[in-house]
Amino acid sequence: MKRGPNGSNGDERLTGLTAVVALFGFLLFLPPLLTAFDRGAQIFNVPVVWAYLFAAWAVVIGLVALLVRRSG
Amino acid sequence: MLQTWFVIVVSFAYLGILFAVAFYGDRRGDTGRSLISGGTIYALSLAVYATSWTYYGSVGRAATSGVGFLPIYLGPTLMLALGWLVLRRIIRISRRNRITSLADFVSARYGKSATLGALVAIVATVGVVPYIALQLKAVSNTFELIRRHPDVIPTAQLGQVPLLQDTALYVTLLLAAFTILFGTRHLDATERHEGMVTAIAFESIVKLVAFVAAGVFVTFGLYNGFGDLFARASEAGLSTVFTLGDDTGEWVWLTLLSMLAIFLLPRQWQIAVVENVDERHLKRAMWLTPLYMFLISIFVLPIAAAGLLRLGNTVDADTYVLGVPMAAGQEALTLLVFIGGLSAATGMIIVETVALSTMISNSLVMPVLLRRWSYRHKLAGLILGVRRVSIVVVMLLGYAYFRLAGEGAALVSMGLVSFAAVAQFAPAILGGLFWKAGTRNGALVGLSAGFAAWVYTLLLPNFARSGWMSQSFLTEGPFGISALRPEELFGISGMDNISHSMFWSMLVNIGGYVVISLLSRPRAREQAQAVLFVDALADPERPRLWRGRIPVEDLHEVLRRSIGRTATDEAFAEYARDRGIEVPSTGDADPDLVHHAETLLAGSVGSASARIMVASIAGEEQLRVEEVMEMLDEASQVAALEERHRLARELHDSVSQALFSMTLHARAVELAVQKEGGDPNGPVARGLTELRSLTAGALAEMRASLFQLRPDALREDGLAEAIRKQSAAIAAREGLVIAVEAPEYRLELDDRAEEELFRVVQEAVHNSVKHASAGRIDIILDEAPDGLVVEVIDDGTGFDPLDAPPGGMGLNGMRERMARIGGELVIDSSTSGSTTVRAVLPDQSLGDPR
Repeated sequence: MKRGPNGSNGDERLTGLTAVVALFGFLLFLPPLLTAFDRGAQIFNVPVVWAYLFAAWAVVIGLVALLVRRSG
Repeated sequence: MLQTWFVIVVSFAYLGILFAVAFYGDRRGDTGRSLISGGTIYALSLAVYATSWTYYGSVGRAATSGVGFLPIYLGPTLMLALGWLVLRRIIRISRRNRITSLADFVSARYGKSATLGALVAIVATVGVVPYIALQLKAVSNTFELIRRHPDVIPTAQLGQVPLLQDTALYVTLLLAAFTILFGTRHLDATERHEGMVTAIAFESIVKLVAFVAAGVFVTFGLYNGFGDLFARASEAGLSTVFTLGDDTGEWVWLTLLSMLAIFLLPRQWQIAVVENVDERHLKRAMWLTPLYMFLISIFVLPIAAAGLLRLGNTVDADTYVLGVPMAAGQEALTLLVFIGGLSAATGMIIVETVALSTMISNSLVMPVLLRRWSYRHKLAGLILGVRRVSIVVVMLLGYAYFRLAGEGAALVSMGLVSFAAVAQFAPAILGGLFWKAGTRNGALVGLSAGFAAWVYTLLLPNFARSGWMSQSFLTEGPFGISALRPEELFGISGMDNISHSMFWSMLVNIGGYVVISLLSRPRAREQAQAVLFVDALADPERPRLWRGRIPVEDLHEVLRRSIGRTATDEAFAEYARDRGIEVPSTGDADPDLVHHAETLLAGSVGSASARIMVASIAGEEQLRVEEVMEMLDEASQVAALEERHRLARELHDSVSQALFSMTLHARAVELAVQKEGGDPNGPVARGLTELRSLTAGALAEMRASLFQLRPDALREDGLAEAIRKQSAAIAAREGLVIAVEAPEYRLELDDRAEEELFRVVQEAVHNSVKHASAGRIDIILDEAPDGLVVEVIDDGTGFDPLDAPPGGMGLNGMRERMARIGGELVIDSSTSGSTTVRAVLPDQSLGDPR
């Protein structure tokens, strides 16, 4: 993949992309998507909603880290 | 069982380490090998967000509402993901405008309104002091728990410790010392404290390690991993652990609230904005700080489940983190967890207090003091004093609140209540960042209304629950008006108190801000600031902008002095033409014009000097406008002076050396002609003599000119010596006798007096030569007991001093020169001859010469 250019262009790209990740995070962390996992059920004995939130959280952190690294 | 003295020793040893780390951080910073030049320390110090309230309280919350504790951490993750959009803007603006607190930021955005700054400082103090109290309570309570183990103490009794036996009191005093030592070390424009930040990052690591150690022990030591632990909880019917809690509305509000809290809490603002040394550090914080929160919250739910299984309701769920290892007999781990909690509490208290004290001193106290006192005297010392006193006051207020509120709702639920208080800044700050039409009046109305709603729907109900107000205020409403019940305002029910309060306060806050902004017309100054803030990222190359007011006249004057009148007028005209506006000749210059002027100045005197000059007329340094002018004159003279110096050196090395050789050669030829028997009165000999005297005259004249060309000759030689050299040169050139009678040692005069006296003598001698046709001049420098007397006496044709002095004699100029250095000039002359010019400079030590 091509590295994003530095300077204000790169900054704008980073701003836009991280904002998209934040929106994605909103979608993952808030109802109604969240309520779908909030049934009190368990997977491998652990609460589904707990596992889901931590997985989603890791994805968001990972995406931001990836974007930041690429921007240099 | 842990001995009390041992816990105390370890605690204070830990605080000692904290001092050492901060000291080391400051030392490294001072020697230019800063520890905080990487982004990691910045990201870790941002984790000051995790206080003892989250350290212990998250588990308590998880015990009742499952993953319901998570929004407090998820919100910051979202906000930091938006960091490049929002925080970078705030950091950039604060850096450029040298903004050192949240209150200052709001004030600066809305036309530097002092009222608004003071309001923000008050809201922050009221909202956050109870939060500080909460930290002290955590320290005090957990210490009591360890001390009284294995007795199980109901939480309600934990607070009843005699004042002098209360660890929290000593912790408070130590923290006040720490904060004063590392938070107000010196006063500089950036208000950065490297040592403090390093210590906070260190505390973040300690609390993470302690909490994760407890979590690992509980999950893998007491149980066989997550699956086993949750399976047992499931068997025991602890269904709450497996859900979000029963209210998704609360979940949403908490997410929003913590998104705002991560940068609006005074301590977060301090770390994220004020202590930020490099914008790029934010990039690392955008993922590393959320990762930190991720790690510290993984074990919250397992510890809550284990606590419920093992301890149940015998102890407060808020103390499970400590209680589970303690009940399992793990003394070392218990101690580690206690230290972790201590680090969470102390980190929060230190930074919060520094941030609050900056706000209190800069936005509340100083504006009042400056209006009453002349600010010329020891301003820096005064600010530091105010800062230190506010630190102690904030700490003691926090402690007093903790002692007063005890176990009441006014304390234990204060964490989120504080979040809700600082969230009131959001409309003014976020609106101010992205919406140019937001005005000062809008911000004032919105913030006041939001704060009032917060007090009414959140703070007062907590007071009522603590028994500080009548309960009927809650249940029946004030004066029995049920529509005004604070937690069900106008009949809105079914919401938890935080969501309810956020709904109402945000409604009136945002509503007031937007509506009043649209209705009111901003003043020019507000508009200028709005453009500056909203377009902060538009022009990345732009140098810093100025906070002070800069009158157009001053700007014009400064420019005129450095680039000349014509060029200045042209520059202003061009500026106006380019933008299609008219530049007013009075009033405050808008930032764009200032920037334009600064660029022009930079071309003339270099960018650093340009910055200093604009800074001083902007009132950012305590320099008077006159001093800037002086500085400027000097600056533009320096180039000319250097050129003259170079010229003098070259002339000395070439022409005057050649003239000197010529006189020697002329003399040698003269002697040779005599030896060879030439006629001493013949044309050759006479011509040679003439040639030699002409060459000698040229040499003397050249030396006199060189002396005048060298600007620092006076400074190097001293007054007496300079007068001697100058006189010799003039005597040689004009063919008269000048006798100088002066002490051999160097007179002690300041540069200015030396310069003025020298010019006076020069002028007097000049008059004697040109106007009085004198044949002899006596110059006398005499150090009398009461001052210095300089006399210039000639034997030429005098004049009548009562008559208007002949023009061109410069007598007035001489009088002015003497007056400037606090001396006087007496002229004694008569038409019969002989003129005496006497300059008297009273002894400097007798009084201020000016």
